[in-house]
Amino acid sequence: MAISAAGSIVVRAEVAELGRLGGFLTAFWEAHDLPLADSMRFELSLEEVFINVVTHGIEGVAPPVGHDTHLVTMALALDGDRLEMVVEDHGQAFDPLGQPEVDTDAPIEDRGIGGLGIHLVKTLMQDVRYERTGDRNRLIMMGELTRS
Amino acid sequence: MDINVDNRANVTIASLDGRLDFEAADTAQVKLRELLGSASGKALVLDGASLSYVSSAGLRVFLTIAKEAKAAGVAVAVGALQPAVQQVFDISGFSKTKIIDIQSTVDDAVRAVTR
Repeated sequence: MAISAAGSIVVRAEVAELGRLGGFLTAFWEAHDLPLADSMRFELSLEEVFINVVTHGIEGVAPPVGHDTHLVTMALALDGDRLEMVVEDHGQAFDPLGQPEVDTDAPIEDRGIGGLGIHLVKTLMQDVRYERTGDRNRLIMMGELTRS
Repeated sequence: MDINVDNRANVTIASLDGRLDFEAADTAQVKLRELLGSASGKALVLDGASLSYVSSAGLRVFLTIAKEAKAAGVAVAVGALQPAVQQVFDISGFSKTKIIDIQSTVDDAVRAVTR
């Protein structure tokens, strides 16, 4: 990968940090003049993954040594028209790609919303990979930008 | 996000203004539920023209309101969704399974619930 721009941010694994995380993405978007039409795909994917970690992933898991709270790292790397977004956490091992597919054909009466977040991520990103390294979850999302 | 309400004779129009993300979802759901409760037989239209962002937490709000409206016999439709928001509805199956009536304009949505 010939990375032309990169950046990363570390936030506490708390719902209240969602705004700061999204703000970092927006600032990256503006700094590198990325297409506005693509920003929601990435913002949404980031929110779904982050909220999953905050509401499920860190449940019952002690924060890493030396910290009193769980942290989530988000890194961006731009390579031409491809943007890679990596989210890392120290929560329970969780492979979102290993979960059952949601039934988007189900009628309203039977419709829960569970699993919809990851369905959105898989649909909106061109490639999603999961790695578990030591006590760390790493979700690598790659999306192509639509250049005019 | 803000919800601005326009009470008309036989329909309540709620304009959703801003981002419907995980943080905004609970408050939005409470407000929309109140509207449903006070609708007393009136139809409800959700105006999406100023809705700039929706995540799965936001979709959950639409799903919940749609289910509760159906149970209460209140007709609900959404109008004027922005393209990126419409795409999220589409890939979630909300459009094809008619989980909620989605119309291209607010006027169309009003017509759909008051005919």
